[in-house]
Amino acid sequence: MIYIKNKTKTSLLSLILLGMIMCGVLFTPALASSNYQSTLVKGTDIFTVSEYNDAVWKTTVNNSTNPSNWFEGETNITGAKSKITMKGWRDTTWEIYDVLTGIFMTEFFSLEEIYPLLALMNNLGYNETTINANYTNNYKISYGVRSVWNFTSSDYPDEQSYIDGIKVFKNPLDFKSMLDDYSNLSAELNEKLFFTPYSFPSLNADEFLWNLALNGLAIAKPQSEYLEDLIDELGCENVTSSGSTLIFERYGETEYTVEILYGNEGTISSFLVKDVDDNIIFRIVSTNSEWIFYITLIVLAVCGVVLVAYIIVKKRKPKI
Amino acid sequence: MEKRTYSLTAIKPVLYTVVFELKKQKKKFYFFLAITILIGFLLGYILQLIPSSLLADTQTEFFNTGLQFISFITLFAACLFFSGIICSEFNKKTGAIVFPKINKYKLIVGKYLGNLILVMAIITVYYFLLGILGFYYYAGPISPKLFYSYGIALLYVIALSSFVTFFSSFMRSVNITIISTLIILLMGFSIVDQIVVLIFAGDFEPLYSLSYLGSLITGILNTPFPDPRYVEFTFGGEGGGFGPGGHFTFGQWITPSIGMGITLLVVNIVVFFILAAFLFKRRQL
Repeated sequence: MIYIKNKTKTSLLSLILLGMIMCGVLFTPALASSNYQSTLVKGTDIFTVSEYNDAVWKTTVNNSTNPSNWFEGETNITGAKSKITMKGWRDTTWEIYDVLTGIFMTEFFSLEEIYPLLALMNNLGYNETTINANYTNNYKISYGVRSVWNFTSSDYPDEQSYIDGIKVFKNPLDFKSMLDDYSNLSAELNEKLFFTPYSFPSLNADEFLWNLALNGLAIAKPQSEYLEDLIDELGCENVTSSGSTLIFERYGETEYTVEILYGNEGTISSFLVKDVDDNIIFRIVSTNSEWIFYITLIVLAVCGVVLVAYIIVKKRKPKI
Repeated sequence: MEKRTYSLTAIKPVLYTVVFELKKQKKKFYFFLAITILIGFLLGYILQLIPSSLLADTQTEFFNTGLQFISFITLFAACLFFSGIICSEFNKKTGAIVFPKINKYKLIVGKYLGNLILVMAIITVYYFLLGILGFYYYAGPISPKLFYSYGIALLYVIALSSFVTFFSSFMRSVNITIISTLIILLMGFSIVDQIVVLIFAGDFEPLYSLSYLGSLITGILNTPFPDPRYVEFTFGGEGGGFGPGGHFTFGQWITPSIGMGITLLVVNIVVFFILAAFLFKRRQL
């Protein structure tokens, strides 16, 4: 009797456990598809300028610049390397003031200009409280901090070149409301700042996304859907996506294309500039050394197992 | 040929003692090794699984943070491994044997080397773990400063071991040696250092202190090397230093200079070994 009772209990418990596992298996993809997940990982990516054609750059992109305008350091030297270490991140919610100071102002103003401009805006009645009260959108983001070593053709210095922020907005649809809020707010501010040396530039969706892509935009998983949603919602005209690649059709001296491939972690994996004939003008590729780490671990584990096996065999061997 | 055979015969007892000591201290070694790996793994890997716990800015800073515990590990290891080298011989009366089967000096040297190998292995494993994690998070190449720090850590271990061996040469029991050396190294030097800094501020560097010399292990990782090496922190009271609360200044020597630190570690090693040998000889008489 007790045996049957125990057996029923065990069966019931097994059923409940199986049910819980099945529910987990069934609901996880459903939940994941409705929410974008940040995939940032701590570690270092190494970026290498694998190709650069200065002559074609001058005739296609800009006659008076080189890639250093986009990426700091010796980006105009093939073989130059840069290093970015993701230090960590925090999930937080941004309001429009954070977006204004953390994205738009850092793109258009230098650090020396930002503080006097914020003081001036405060005097005009535009401080954090008033701006957030008038523009009430909230944005959920993962804000990461990273150490960046500028591109160099020699050895990396011990100290990083600068510390940078990286933003993963959890919802790609937020970009549209961000741009709309910025457009309204900048129009208001430009009126008030008319007699000052400061003015906020007006941005279209393409320029907004281009500036974001160059200044620490990371994307969430699933990446292809994220990029599609982002482009559709913003209504970009000259930006498309293909899988995890963001493709910008741009115009400098002549037309050219920029392809930004996002890796598994949601950060830039490769950056490619091509002319209309698909000739590569400039290319950055990224690598990381994780595989060396894992190979070392495997070698150590194998050595450990061999050592233990050797000791066991030696101990079991009868002494003659 | 004959001379070579003689020297081999002379070394053999030392080698046998080393092997015997390695086997004898096996459990202690495994315990320390497990603790060392656990600390390295917790600090370098588990802690970093928390996204909001930020990695250090650079590889050398990561090593610097990871090595904060190295002085504790080396200190405890030195006290526990080397405390019984000489005094246990007298505690168990083996040191008083008039015609021993093995030369007593060879026995002591063998015991010392055996323990030194084990402690060095513990330190090496910790540095290796830290190096691998540094490579994992910051990619290569591994900063050469880690190797300098490793060299100084080994020198520091030898200095600590000579200090503990010196105490072991005149103390009565192993336990008393462990307790007294731990108290001196953990608290004694720190308290005296603080008193010296309070009295002399930046005019007198506590170069007599082994724990201060040990700060070179992490100090060498700083970029650039600290200059000035004596810093003062001022805390303003009510009124920001001008009001009734006034202010007080707290001074600290960060690290000895590289040349001076290494020289004094070597001096410590030589002096304490000579003293230990002298006391050991006297004790036998």
